[in-house]
Amino acid sequence: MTDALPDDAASDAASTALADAWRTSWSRLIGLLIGQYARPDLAEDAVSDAFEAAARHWPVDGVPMNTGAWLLTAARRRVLDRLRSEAVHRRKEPLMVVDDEMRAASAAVVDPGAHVADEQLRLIFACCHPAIAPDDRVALTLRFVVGLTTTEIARLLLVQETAMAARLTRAKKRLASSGIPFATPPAARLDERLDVVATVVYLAFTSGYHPGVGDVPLRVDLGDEAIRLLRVLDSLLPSRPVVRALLALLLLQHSRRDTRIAPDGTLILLPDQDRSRWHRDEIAEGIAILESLPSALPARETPSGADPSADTSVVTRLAEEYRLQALIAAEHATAPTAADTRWYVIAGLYLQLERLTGSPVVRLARAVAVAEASGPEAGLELLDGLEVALPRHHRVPAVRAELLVRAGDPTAAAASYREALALVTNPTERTHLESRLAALDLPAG
Amino acid sequence: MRFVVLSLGSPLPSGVSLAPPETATLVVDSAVHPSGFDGGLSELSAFAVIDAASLDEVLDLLPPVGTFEVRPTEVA
Repeated sequence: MTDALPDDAASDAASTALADAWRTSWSRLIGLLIGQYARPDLAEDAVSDAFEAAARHWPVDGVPMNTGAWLLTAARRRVLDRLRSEAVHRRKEPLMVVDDEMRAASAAVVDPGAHVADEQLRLIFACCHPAIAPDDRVALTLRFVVGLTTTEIARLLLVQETAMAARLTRAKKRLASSGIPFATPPAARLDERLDVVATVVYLAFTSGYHPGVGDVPLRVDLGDEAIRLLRVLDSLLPSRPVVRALLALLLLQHSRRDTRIAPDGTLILLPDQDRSRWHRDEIAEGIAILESLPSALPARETPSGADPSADTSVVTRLAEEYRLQALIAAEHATAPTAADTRWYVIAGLYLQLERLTGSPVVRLARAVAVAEASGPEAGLELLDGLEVALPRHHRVPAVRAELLVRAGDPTAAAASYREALALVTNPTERTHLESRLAALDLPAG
Repeated sequence: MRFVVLSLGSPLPSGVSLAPPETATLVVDSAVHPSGFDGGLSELSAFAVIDAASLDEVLDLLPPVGTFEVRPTEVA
């Protein structure tokens, strides 16, 4: 059938099929190969090679009926070639005998009970294992699970490409040689490990929003990918509070994606965004998830003797943190206009969040909400001491300056703006602060 | 008497070879860290050789309090 098509139609069909296969099969293929051969390094190269082969063959030979099977066969052949040439190489070095039999044995101990649908999940848990450095977890997940190239990951995480390549090589080596299991953790560890996974997914999501990345020629929207990943987690491990809460948070934040950047590339702040262009269906889904979540607060502190994971769906502190953040995002998402925002509700949620985390960054956000709800003086009171807790953080004096302007003290505001200007590094924010300072109505003399 | 011989940098005939330091995982009071122990050898107080399917199985066996470095043996 395909040979009847004109050439460019065939190549269109091939590139659509490739993009589909990449979305649906990349991480599953890597998962399958690691499950079979216990060699994460080879699995990744082999799947890359299989996709390259597909890009060459499909436009010419036509798209195969089962693209996933075609890719798996190609990738498996590639792994076997590599294992064979390694074995030949080893025969010349008789001291290091690791034969295929031994490798097969080690592959066999990998979670024998699980079925194929869980490969992706096992891959996620392996990439996000606590024995891997936090930065490396993000990089590994973007490479193995999402399927981004080293170049793309380097640009997203603002790291030099050579440094990222070195980091990925090191991380892959660690994944292969430290005894990290390619398995879904046992019930007793699941919630603790899910928290690590959630943190990685959230980091991947926010790195997609990193300002200053420029026009990265990404094949995917990282926000979409993070949400897709959470949906996979949610379907394989249903009703986990941390997964549900983070999914709600990301849906609500991502619903504003089309209104955050002006045509000239500058950031549009929340009050100035065009609310008619927010994705209503995603907001509705986020809110529905929030309503279904248990609101039980976690125990204030977990005694070290008790096992916090004994309950299968324990609300961890992180889950509660994401839930509160999502509730705040929901308030913004459902306010008909910026002026209608229920700031007293948001201020209350930030208070809960501050009690939970003790974070000075949360207090800063709370001060802004309180100022909106109860006036600038109330906000200013909450800023006391924050300069000590967040030194070198230009947002503290910047917020103080803003509130002083509203409280009618331009002289003190000017001093705070200058303080903020001494600390700010981002050029866009510097310009913003300078224009605010210039616009002040300072008393003469 | 029984003796423990630790070899620094060279293989030991009939000994157990450790995988390189990059493969080490440090556990301090149950918290897992992606690195080896960087203190001196004089801190060493005990050792165990454990057969397990994965790092997680070893982590499950460790006492909740204390500092431990876990490293695979070299497959040879």
